[in-house]
Amino acid sequence: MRDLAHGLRRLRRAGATSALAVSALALGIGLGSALFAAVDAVLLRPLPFAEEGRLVFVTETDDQRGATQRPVSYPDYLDLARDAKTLAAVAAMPNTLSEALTLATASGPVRLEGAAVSHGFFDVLGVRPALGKAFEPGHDRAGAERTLVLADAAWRHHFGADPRLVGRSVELSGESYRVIGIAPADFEYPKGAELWTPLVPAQPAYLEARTTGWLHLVARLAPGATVEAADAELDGLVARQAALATGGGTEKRSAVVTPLRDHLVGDAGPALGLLAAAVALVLLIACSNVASLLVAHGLARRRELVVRTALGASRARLVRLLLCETLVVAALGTGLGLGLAHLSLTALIGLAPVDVPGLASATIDGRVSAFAVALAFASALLAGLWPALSATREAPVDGLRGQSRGSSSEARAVRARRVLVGLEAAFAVVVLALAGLVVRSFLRLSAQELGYRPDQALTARVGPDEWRHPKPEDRRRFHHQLLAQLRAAPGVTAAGSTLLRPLELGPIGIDGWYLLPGQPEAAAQQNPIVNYMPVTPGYLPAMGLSPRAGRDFGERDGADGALVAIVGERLARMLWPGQDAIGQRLATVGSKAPDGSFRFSEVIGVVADGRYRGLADVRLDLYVPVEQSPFPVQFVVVRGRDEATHEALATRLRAAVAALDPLQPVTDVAPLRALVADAQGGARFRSQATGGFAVLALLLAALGIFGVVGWSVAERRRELAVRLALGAGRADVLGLVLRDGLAPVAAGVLAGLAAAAVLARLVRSLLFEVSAADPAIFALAAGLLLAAAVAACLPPALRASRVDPAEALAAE
Amino acid sequence: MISLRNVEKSYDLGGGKVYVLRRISLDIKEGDFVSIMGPSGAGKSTLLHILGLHDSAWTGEFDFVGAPVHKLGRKERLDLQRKHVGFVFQSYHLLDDLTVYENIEVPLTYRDVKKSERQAIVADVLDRFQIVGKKDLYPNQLSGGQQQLVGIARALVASPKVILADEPTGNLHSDQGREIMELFKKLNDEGTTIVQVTHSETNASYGSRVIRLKDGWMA
Repeated sequence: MRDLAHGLRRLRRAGATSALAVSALALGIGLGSALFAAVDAVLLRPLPFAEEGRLVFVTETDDQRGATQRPVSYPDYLDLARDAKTLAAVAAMPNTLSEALTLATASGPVRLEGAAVSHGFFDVLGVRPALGKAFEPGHDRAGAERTLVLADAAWRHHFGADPRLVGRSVELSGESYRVIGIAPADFEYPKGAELWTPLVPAQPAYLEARTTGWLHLVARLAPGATVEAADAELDGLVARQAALATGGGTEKRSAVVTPLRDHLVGDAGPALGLLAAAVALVLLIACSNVASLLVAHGLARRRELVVRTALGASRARLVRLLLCETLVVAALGTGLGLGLAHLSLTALIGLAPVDVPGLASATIDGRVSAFAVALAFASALLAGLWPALSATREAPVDGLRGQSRGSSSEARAVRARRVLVGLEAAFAVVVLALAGLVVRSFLRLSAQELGYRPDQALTARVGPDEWRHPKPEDRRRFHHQLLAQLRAAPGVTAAGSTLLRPLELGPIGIDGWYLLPGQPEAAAQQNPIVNYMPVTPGYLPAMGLSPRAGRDFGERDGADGALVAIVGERLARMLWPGQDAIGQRLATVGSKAPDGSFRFSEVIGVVADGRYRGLADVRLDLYVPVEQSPFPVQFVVVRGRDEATHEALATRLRAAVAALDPLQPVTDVAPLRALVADAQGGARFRSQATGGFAVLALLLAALGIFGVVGWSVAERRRELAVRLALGAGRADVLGLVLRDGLAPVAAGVLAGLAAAAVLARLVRSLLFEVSAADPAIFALAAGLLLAAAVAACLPPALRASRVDPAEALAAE
Repeated sequence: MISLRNVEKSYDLGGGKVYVLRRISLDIKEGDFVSIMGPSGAGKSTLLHILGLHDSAWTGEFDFVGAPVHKLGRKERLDLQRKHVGFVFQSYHLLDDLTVYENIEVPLTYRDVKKSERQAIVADVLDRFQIVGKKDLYPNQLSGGQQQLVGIARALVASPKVILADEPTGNLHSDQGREIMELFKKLNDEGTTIVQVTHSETNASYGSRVIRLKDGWMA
């Protein structure tokens, strides 16, 4: 206690030095704690599933045809569930939320997002409904009573949390559904689901076709089975199924088994890892700064320490005294740091993309506070132990006899501070280099040619709902009429519809096949997969897709017209290199006649390649008129004149939909630009966060260098005065101080560049069109740090060159 | 009480060994007041710090209050020092951040004396040195003489058998120096053994014996 009290008193007397040390630690501890809270919420906190470590996510991959994370077909799902020995249980769900149902409320129709899931879904995840029960075998039988499990939020929001709802029926989309259970409050899987219905494939094609993948699987590993073992076993099973699909053909598919947590966290894991590394480095720089201050302090207190030794203090007591002082710094740093952590976490959540699972629930709770305290103690030890041991190493007799100048302890302190400056420079260069790579990657990603123009375009889901418009031709007519109205509206230049919006579902889309005239049927399952998009006339101009050749779809390209298609440039180049694609023919999804023959579509247009499934993901685009496709359209895209605002477009869209069907909800209204911005969210977040850390690292390192060089100039005042008295010029002294100050920085920069080259490989998966060893970025990082170091060295160096020899030597 | 036999101290420099003390043999009895004198560089302070157990890098034999120092480890030497030695410095070396009271208390804290006991001892010493009114002041609020008075009080607080003083009046003007030397004399009369390093024949005259050093040798 006495040592702590003395520590506090010394800190008060040390004033600016203490403030600097406390601020540096508070910064490190604050940022570190905020990031720990985020990592805790996203990566460490258990998912709301029983024994989540045994849960895996299963998709397929077909490298030969350029398909990753390919969904699984229904027959393949049944086979895997039956045959896989490494899986105890398997559940299936479509790869997108597919069971949106409309609830009529007093304030208008409300769309509830739903997931169709196989009956074992809740059991596989080990989730028991908070009220009622989960699905059982039989619930997913064709013709069975319609049932659903409601999400807690939807139950509270739309049904007033009425527990009597369980067992009752509610009307959704014109059908009666019995509510059999309410999910636990923390359960939201797949993300966005507000209700779950049993998976009952409606079309025979979905039940039987092995070539039509549309399911994602979640499975529980059998006791003792590992992810690797399951992956190996499922590879064999999937290969066998692929052979069945192509009648013994050459399709080369394999399984992709991923721990469910990894799948859910996605690239948020590596991104948080990157930020954690940046924070750790900033904290180390802060610790180096504090240690550097303490070393200087230790030297200044040398006399006090030797006196204490002479008065009977053991080395352990002295180390304890010095550590207590550091602990006081750390305790104050923790208090300030936790306040800073609150602010940093709020900023982090605000900056982060919305789809980082669990991040929004991150708080500075007891665990985080405990982490902050642990971090503070670790920092105190890290920053304080070395200076304490170094300061107490001296035999008392040397100190007592006033041998301060040129003594071994002073030499040690100088060396220690040089090493610390070198370390700071090294850490800072690593942060700068990593941040440089991430920022450059983001800039590259932002500068990507999307193929379409996101400005002035609004998108929305208009359905229409099947229960209101049961026949496919009714739904197509709905869109036809809606688009006609929109195009006639003032301020609208183009309007069209499609099935899936760009960039919204990540890599998910319709993986289609194609067949060229003369190719055998089996080639359809061997040719590269195309990005198949059913669209209405007007969709391409509404998206602002640059036409390269030919024409857009028109009224004549209906169900009864000649089959037509529009291709992206990349597909055109691949299929007809050096030829005009217009007039070429290919068969695709939906063009197989009942007699088994193929009907070929004529290519009538070529457009720019669009980035639909990710900003870094260019596919082989194939557009077909919705009237000639087995798939419906759901989303409308409206392009306005420059002056047309999104609000005005949305009002016109809602009015047009209401005029056609007042009960049809218009949901997911979003400017196309917002979808692009969301897709850039992860990269932008990483870029802003690491950029911020880089600036911080640079400032802290510069501060540290400034402190050390300033201290060194003060210590060497006499020597510099002697040099000046002996004839050295001001420039000589300036150069001497700059050289001495910059030498450890240069060594640190070299070491930092080497470390950055190694660490950058770990974040390679986050980089886009930027090499992990980008020499320009590494040079920039080194240059920035050296420039900051020169700026930090210059004021003390100039002060040194202005030393008055007469005054300095007289003072001695 | 103190017995040195052939004690030598040297430094290894580039060109070979440089001796600071050569073959020092001396005896100091309990109750002695010894002055070590000699020109600058003679080895006076070095000898004093060896006697104060601050320095262990020497050769020879050194018995202190019956204990063979030359055979003791670091911890035993520290224990011996804590028990029997009080040290007074030329530059006082009070701890700047501590009050007069706390400075005097420091040696007791390193000897694990209980708090209530410490309070009684420090109160007694403050009273004895008539500095009760200054107990809450910091060193920079005291004159040089007052600081040295506190330094001596601090050296005495743990009731050592011997007080070693390194030029205790070196930084004081003559009146203050005389007061300090009279205090040493009084302490010696009360039974405390005193060994001082001094350049001043006047100061040496307060003692009972003078040891002269020149170039590391006893003259």
